[in-house]
Amino acid sequence: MLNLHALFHINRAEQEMDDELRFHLEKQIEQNVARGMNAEDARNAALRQFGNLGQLKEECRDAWGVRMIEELLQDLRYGLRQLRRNPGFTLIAVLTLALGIGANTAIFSVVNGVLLNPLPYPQPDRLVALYSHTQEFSNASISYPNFQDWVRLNRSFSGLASYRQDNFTLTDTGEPERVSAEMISASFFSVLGVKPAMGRTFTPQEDQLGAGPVVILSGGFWKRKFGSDPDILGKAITLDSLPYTVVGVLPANFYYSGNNFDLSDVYVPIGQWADPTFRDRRVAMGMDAVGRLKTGVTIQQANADMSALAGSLAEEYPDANKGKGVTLVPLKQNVVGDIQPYLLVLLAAVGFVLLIACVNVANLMLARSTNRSREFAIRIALGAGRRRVVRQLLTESVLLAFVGGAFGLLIATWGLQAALKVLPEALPRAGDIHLDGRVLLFTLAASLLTGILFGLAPAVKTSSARIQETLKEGGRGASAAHHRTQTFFVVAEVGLALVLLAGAGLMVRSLAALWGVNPGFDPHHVLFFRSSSPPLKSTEAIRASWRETHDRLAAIPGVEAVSLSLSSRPLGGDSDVPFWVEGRPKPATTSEMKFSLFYVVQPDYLKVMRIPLERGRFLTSADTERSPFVTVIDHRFAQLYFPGEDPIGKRVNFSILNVTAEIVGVVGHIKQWGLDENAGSPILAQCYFAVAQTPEMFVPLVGLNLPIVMRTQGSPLAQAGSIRRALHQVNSLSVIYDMETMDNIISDSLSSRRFSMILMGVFAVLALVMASVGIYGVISYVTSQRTHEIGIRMALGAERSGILKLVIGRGLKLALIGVAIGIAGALALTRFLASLLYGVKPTDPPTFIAVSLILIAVALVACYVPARRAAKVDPLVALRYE
Amino acid sequence: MGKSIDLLQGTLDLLILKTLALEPMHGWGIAQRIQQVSQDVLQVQQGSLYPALYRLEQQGWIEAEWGASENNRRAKYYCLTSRGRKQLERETSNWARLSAAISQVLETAS
Amino acid sequence: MEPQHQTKAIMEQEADGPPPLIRLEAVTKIFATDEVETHALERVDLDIRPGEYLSVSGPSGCGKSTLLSLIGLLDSPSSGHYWLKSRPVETLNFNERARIRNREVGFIFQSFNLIGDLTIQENVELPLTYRGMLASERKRHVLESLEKVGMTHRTKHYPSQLSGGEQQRVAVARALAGDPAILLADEPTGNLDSKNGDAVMQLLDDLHHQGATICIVTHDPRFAAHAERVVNLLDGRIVNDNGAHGKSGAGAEKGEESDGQID
Repeated sequence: MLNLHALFHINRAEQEMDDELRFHLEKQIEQNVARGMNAEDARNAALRQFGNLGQLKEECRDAWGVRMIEELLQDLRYGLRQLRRNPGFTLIAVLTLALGIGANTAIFSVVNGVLLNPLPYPQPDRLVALYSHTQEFSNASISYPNFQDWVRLNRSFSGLASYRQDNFTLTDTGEPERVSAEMISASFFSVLGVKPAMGRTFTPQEDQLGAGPVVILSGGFWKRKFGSDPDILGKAITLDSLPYTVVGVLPANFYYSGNNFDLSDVYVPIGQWADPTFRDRRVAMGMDAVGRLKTGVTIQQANADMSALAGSLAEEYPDANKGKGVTLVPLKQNVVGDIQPYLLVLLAAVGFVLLIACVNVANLMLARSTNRSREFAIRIALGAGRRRVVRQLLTESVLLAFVGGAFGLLIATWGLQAALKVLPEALPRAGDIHLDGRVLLFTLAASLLTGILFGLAPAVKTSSARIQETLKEGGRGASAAHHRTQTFFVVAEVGLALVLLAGAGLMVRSLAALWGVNPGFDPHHVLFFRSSSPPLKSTEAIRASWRETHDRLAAIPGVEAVSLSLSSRPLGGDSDVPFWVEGRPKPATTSEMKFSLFYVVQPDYLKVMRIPLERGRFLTSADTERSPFVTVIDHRFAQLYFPGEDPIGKRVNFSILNVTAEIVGVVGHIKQWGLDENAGSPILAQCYFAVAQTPEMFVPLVGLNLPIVMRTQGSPLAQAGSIRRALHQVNSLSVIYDMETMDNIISDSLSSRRFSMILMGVFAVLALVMASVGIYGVISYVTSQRTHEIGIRMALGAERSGILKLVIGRGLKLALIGVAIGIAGALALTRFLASLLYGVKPTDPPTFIAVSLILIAVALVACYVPARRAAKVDPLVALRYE
Repeated sequence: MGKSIDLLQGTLDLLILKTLALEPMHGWGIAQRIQQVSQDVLQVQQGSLYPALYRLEQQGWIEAEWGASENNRRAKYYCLTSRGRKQLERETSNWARLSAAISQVLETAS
Repeated sequence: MEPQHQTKAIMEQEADGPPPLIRLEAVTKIFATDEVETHALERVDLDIRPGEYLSVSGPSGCGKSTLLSLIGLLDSPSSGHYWLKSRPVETLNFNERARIRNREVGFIFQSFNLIGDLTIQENVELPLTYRGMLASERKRHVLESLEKVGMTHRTKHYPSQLSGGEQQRVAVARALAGDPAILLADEPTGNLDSKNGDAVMQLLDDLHHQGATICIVTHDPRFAAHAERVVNLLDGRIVNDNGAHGKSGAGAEKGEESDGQID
């Protein structure tokens, strides 16, 4: 600020005014003394005579204040006219700035919302997500008995809470509806530090087996379903045929996304869940935990504490816990998850864009400054002081930056809205993303600085000797240093653009490679959906309902095949089970066994998914609860555990399920973990069980919450109506939800990549455009500088094509140097992308060659226009031009 | 000093220009000179002198420069510009016409 | 500020009749590049008195433009002294020189050097805005000087809409607007056809008759003849000056140094 003041020479003028008045005062005192007053009287008399000093200064300031404002207005008017009269320059400069500022602000706002902003809970940095650490997974869910021991024995947390996602069918309140639920321990809300908007949270007594069913509603659900009924507390709602008493309503803005982005409608106490498997210490049923660290306890200390605790639990319950540890992740990191590397790469990319934008503006300013050096020479010859010239240039630069900034703000707003609308599934914490004012200020400042720095060039480089020369030349001269700077800028732009293009190219190739990956099944024409009905009492009735569901759906015209798809689902949920092969040494504990993913399906599953049968047979309708238990394994299972053997006929023990199954067939492997699944993915072995053979004790657990896959002729979604009708015939209270095509599921699994790729692509294109503008600007500038030279060449017999080649060659040289530097830079930088790439090396030669060619082609086009202009030069005119 | 007269603004401008026509002077000197020449009848108040000087400088009629005064103190010297000189001529003739007119009126009226 | 110099100059004037507007004393200008030193001016002494019409001519490269730049304070001498209106100016800094240029010097260039993005009115106004003159005052001056060159009818036009001759007349108006002590014209007819060239020379003659001090650089003897006094330069030295004033160089030290201040 001080500097700015100095520029407007307020400080100096102020100082001079003070000096002048002090001088006057001292003279007055001297005179008074000479007249015989003593020193003090002399001083007082002088001061008295001076009157109100402040007012005096004010009046003096008025005298030059008027002038300053007038000058400022003049500069502004002139600056505006400059922009108006040079529409090409203005358009490109403003657009460049706007894009640079806009893109940066948008992306940084996303990064800020997702990565930097704290979670919306009090003291969010003390919140930690807890997982079980097993051989296969570092982030495995927790078994309930273990969790209860953690709560009892830990010394690090002021509170530990567990939660598990579930679904209910809401009946008796209009149409039956599926509601998403979170089963939570009583401490859940107090750990997060969230208070209900109405009523209360759960008591520890309610978080017990046998307690009366109670429910807390989310603010949104309360509003949507009950019209914000203020008397809702104490009323009962029917979930899965059971009346739950409403004890509380949450604030409307509350959300929790521990491991999914689904906002829950209702919350119920987890401790009331009676399922016996849930209380089996060996089994984790998708329950996770969150804890609040005690004051003064670091996450490292908590880690040590929990490890020790896990160790003692492993000793106490070796069968369930041997080899199991605890993983602690700061809650925010847990929420942000996989998106972090993508966002950081994008942030770097958009930083490059800003850099290019700044270089471009600098280049434009520099090119213009040469055109204007004559103007400034004239102004200086006419007596403009340096300060005056600098101020005029500053006014123009600031004007430009602000116009650019204003459009940038628009672009940022639109860009952000578009990004959030188009690709919400890729972004956690989408609700926390807002346009970030600080970023806008920062980017604006950056571009302002660039503008000022290079906008001032004409003022700085106009030495007296140059003035005279410039005035004589009529402003057509430019120093070699000037050329060098511009050339350097163009090379830098091309280099930066190449890095971005290479990054974008690699991401495009990755995505293309992923699209080309065979997932192991045929996703086309496959529909996935869930059906949910209130539970039935007898297991027999449930089994009958499963069969009927299949049969009714299979009977729909246009449906080729249909199957329930319980437990694991490709690219969806995963369930795993420990096993050992009979006839081989039995591991001492469950935790030392090998694990396999398991899929509980019906015989038509292979037809639906078109998974190839490699050996033996698949499950058939003859495999029922009364026939011997069988399983079908996948290719990888066979490869891993029966190398060189025929697995058919071998028996596998699944102790947790209390069954031993005979292997009857081998099918192809499917990419459970996503298209980018690789040898490093956690569990690769897969096995299939028949729905009909579900052990009796698990039947209530499965209940009538049924994920279903279906192959149709024609568009899968067109069957929605018939599906609904068919399922209503099975159960009039059934609800269908989560309907999605398998194609879509695959596409969604790539959303983070696609999000990054699209943005990276956009940035790369921006960079390309800016770089080509840069090349165009410099080449046409250099060419116009050399009109005279070109005239001479032509006079000496150069042909037009020769001139064309000459000019294009010049541009091409710059582009090639830029490409070379860019390739070096990209080789150094793309390895940071490695973790985001698939099927392509960070140094992939085809990508590098392709983007280099694109860049060179664009550079050629950018040079062609000025080159043609040069070739059309009339030698006579050019030579007279001096 | 009791019988001194405060100056009207336009008049002060004229007196300053006139004083500076003789030689460059600092603010203090201008005030002193006017007072001396008018034999203490015309008192220039600082409160009107400096704003007037700044205004005249803005108009381009006088210019200021820093120089050393007697006993080598830094002081701001004002001097008349060529345009100021013309302005002085204009104002002087205006003044002559005005004072003649006023005298005329006063004489006729009495 | 160096009041001592000022005093000395003032003392000299008293001894020597009307003071010279411009006094150059042993002025030398050397342009040094990496390889060569060019002596553009070699110990030049030159006085220009108020109201003089002076032409400087000589072959290309004789230093006439350098001389004009020095007089116009666009450049400062490598050595020697320069008094403008009895003030030493060779040591002034950039901004101080700009200030004096603005008030005392009116430039007319061969290539007109009007600013393309400013209207005629604004171009002529430019030196006045740097002086901080108020808008109403500026307007009056601009009209006055445009009147003098007969260009009042196209004030809102841009330079590109004018012919070369008209542009040069506007440039003359701009030089006049600030009421300068001296007009410096560097080949003012060089970019004009002979008809327009003559018109501009006629304009300068008229201005001279109205009392303006003019220094014109030209290699065209026909135009040089318009001036009363012709100075010929060759290789940076004055080889002929038909109006040289008898006395040049510093006078003897005279009088005591005093402030010239009156209490």
